[in-house]
Amino acid sequence: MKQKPINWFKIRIIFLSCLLFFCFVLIMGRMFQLQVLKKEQLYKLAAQQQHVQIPLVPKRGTVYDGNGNELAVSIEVDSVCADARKIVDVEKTANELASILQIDRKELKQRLKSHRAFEWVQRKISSKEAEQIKALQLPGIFFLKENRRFYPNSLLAAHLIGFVGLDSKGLEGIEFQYDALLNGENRVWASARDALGRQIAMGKVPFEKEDHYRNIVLTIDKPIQHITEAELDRGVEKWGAKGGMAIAMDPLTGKILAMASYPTFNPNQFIQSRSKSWRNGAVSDVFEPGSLFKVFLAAAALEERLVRPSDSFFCENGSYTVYDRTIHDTSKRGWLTFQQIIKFSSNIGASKVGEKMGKERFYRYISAFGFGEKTGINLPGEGKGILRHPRYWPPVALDTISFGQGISVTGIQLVTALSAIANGGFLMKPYVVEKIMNEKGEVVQSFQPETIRKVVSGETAKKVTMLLKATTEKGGTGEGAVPVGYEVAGKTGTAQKVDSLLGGYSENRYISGFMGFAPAEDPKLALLVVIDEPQGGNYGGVVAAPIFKAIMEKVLPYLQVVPKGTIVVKNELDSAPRKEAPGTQPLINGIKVGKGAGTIVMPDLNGLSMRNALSRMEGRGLIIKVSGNGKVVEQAPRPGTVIERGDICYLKFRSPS
Amino acid sequence: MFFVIGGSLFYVWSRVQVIQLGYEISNALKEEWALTETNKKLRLEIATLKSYTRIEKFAAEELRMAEPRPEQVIVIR
Repeated sequence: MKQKPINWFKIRIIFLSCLLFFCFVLIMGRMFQLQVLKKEQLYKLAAQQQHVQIPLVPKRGTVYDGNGNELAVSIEVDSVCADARKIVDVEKTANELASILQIDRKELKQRLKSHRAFEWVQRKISSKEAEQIKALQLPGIFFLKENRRFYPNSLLAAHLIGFVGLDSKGLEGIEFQYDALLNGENRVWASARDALGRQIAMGKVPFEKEDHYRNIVLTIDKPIQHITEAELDRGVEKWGAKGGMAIAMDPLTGKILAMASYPTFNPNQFIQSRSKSWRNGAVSDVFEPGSLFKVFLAAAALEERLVRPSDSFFCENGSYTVYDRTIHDTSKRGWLTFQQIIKFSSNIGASKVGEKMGKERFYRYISAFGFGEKTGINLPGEGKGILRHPRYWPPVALDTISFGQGISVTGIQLVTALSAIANGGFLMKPYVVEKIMNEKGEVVQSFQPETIRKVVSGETAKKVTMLLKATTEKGGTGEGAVPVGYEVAGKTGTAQKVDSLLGGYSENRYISGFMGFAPAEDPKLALLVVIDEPQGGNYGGVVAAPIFKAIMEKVLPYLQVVPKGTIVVKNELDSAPRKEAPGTQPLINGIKVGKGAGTIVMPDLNGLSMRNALSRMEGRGLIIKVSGNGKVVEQAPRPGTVIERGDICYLKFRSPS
Repeated sequence: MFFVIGGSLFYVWSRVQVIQLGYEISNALKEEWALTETNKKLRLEIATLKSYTRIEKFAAEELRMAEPRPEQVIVIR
């Protein structure tokens, strides 16, 4: 029998089928493994690789002054970090980083050797440093974006604005008080990425614009703040004083225009100054107001119609004993009218007025003026002063409080109460935040002037103003506070400091103050200046009044209040632009022949500067109209023309270039 | 048949375009972000340069300017 030949063809088919089946099972098994068993894990891995989540640094709102100048700004800066496991040459890396960043080499080396995946090298470095480091391309060194707070005006309003710590947390001032509003939310920018790691925006753009941070606009006026600070610094340094403060307020609204304290600090490097100088003394320091307080005694006495400014009091020739205490005056005087008591700041006179008023009534007015409670300015660390209920006043307290001893107040309370005198009797709530805006610049909340209560009548306020004006007139204690050409209503104050060691009052440590408003008739600015422990002089009229004057002198013109005697001329360019083209001037033909006494010969003003030209023309009763600026190029009437009082002179200026 | 091939080619082309645009949008967003930051930095620089202490020092020391005396001031309205 012939053996059946082996059907290789069939075997091959069977073999291949088996092989294919085996492969199929293998693939199915693998698919089962990947898609069913390891599904969760792989999904996660894919998501991790395809989607990037970039944590965005929370933004922090900007702080502006009333005119939109930036006072505090956040900028993204680089922070250098290290993945210590990936560093190749620790020695070299540490050396190079340390020399660029100027940090301790040894300590850095220690940290880089730690084998930790994340280590800060230096946070918030400058862009120059970042570029240098990036150029080195050190393995294991990478950068993170962080926000850093900058205060472009450095010292300006440092106490008021405060500062933030390394983790963008407000630690002082507005930064602290409004921290929750200023800080944005932590967000991530989710996006897809391809195999090469490039980002692709898929579906809807996941980049949300909302940061939920707020910008804060303060009522502070940068020029006024600068002047106030500069003059306060100068004054404190001149008198070798321990400290000082100055607050400028718009008396009609309660808006704080400037708030300065000394010693000061740079919020960009707050860590380098002592924590004592971070203190915003203008709202937190409590002191005895001394004679400054007589203003409110006068207001109360006049409102109650207990005295008239012309009523006389016997001032005991400088020494007056009440119970166990003797009250002294700096200058011995006999009979003084009430007006003179304020003008010469007689303690004895004030005591007698106080006695006439009685505890309860006086206390009512003191509280009505806002003393003994917080003003609600909404700044951290505000003091409320010490005002005890009359039930607990020792017998002599009525006398001493009348001239500001035995009561403690804050600077902000004083200036707020003074504003009530300036504005006709309304106690306004002081405020420093004008409005709060969202990131798009829309106003979310704005603050309006708020009247707390009416303290005295408008008539009384006017009378007190008259008394305060007399104080700054010749012979008054506040003579040195008046800038040339203005009328100031104000009051000096000198207070002995309480000796915390011995109890009682210190013999040689004083607080000198001056507070007032100007112009007296139409107040635009209420200002308080207090100098703590001046050396070589202690009277408010000598120490604080000149500082008050220096501030007022510069701030009032800025507020469009010009001193008396200033030449004011109309600028033609604004009212009637380009009315007279050269050659077509209608008035040039008018050669007037004068009629004797009132006539003047028109001088040749060609080529003079505006100041020189105007001062030559001034005081002759001419109406001067100017256009352009620079030097005089045309004038009408022509030089040599005889003109009369009341004639109109046109001057045309052009700059030499 | 022609339409089927044409249609699918068009579909593929449109997908490619979508992805391409995705890249562009992503880059534009990054650029916007960077420019916003640059703008902020420049504004900060302006604010720093506008600091009154600096200007005052510059005016007084280098330009030798002084504050006008009251009688030197003429107001133009």
